Amino acid sequence: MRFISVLLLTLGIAFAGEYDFTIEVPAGKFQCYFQTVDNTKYKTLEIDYQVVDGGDLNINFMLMLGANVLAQEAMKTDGSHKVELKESGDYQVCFDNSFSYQTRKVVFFEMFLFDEKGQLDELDIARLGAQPDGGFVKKMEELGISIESFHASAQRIKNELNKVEYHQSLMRAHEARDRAIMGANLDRVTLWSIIHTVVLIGVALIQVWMIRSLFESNSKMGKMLRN
Amino acid sequence: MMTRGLVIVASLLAVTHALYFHIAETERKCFIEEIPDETMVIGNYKVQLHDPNTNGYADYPSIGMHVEVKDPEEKVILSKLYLSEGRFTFTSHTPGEHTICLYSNSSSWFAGAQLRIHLDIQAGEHTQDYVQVDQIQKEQNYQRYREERFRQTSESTNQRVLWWSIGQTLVLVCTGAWQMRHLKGFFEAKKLV
Repeated sequence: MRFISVLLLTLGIAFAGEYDFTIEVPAGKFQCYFQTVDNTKYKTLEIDYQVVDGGDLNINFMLMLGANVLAQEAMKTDGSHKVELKESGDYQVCFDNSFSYQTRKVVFFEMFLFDEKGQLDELDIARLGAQPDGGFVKKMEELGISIESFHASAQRIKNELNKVEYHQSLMRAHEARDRAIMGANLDRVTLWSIIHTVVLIGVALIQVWMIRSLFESNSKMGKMLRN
Repeated sequence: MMTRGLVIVASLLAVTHALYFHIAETERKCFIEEIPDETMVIGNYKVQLHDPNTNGYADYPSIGMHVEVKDPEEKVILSKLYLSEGRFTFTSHTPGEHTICLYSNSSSWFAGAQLRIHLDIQAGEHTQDYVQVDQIQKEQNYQRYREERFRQTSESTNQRVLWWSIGQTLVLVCTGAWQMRHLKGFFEAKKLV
């Protein structure tokens, strides 16, 4: 039970810095997502978005706080914005697909909250270490490792791993977008090939029928063609 | 008792700092998660109802949240009614795009009620470094698998374009030949040739 509580506590801390979602914005709709930000804890907000599927892969984007528009882009396929958090409040991220009448857009977006050190989440090793065994710090010092350098190394590792995850999600979004484009191409090729073949055969039959009726004395089409 | 309190505090902490959005009562909101297989996905959510008296959002414990999760083959792997606040988890058994849809079960509320949903979705556990590395490794393998599938689809598209073009040229030539033969027979029958 204690282990689970420590797990969930770190889960709570790890949740605090980064959010990513893949959403579907239907045609003609305007969707907003809100994030409550505490200005005392976080100093910078970064938002990255990318349109993964749908038509020309573009969407209108807006980042607002209350009535102020902090960032705005129109008809872009992807974007990245970093804003200084001057005040606390509910920041809203809006995706506008109202210019499209038929195609829904699938958008992948990520939001990062950085504290004043420019880091995503603080890994509290000391608190983790202190839980199961109080003599943890003493044991580490016996081994000649100070808790600060251990903390710094762990933090560096965590930062690098976070960077890897960030790049992986970016690659994943790119791949999904390319796969969606290719799927649409394949469908288009198949559809138009079938239409072309049907039109080809249809036109051949109509041609033969019209030439025949040209030489038939008692057909309406023949009379029309001869005059 | 203390540990139980810690558990409750931790899960509340996770949700109240999460993203929130508004939906109408009967509206469905869906999210897409592209994940490798054998990955656990945890979603924390909280639902609040718009209170016209205070013009704010308040907790209504009697609202239920229906969560439906579909796997990449459109098969429903989770379809459950949850409380107004809590968490849902599922583990993927096939790699690909899973769709997580949320909608409220309320039909008894006054028409046009707006709901505010706080949501946080985490794929793969983020608790310890080793698990994060494991997750990164899984993601890399999944990426390799996706690139292979992508290459296969590319090749099949290319093949398909080639074969359709050859086929259409053949159809064109055949219909031309058939037309000439048919009309020749027709004119000979009509004694015009």
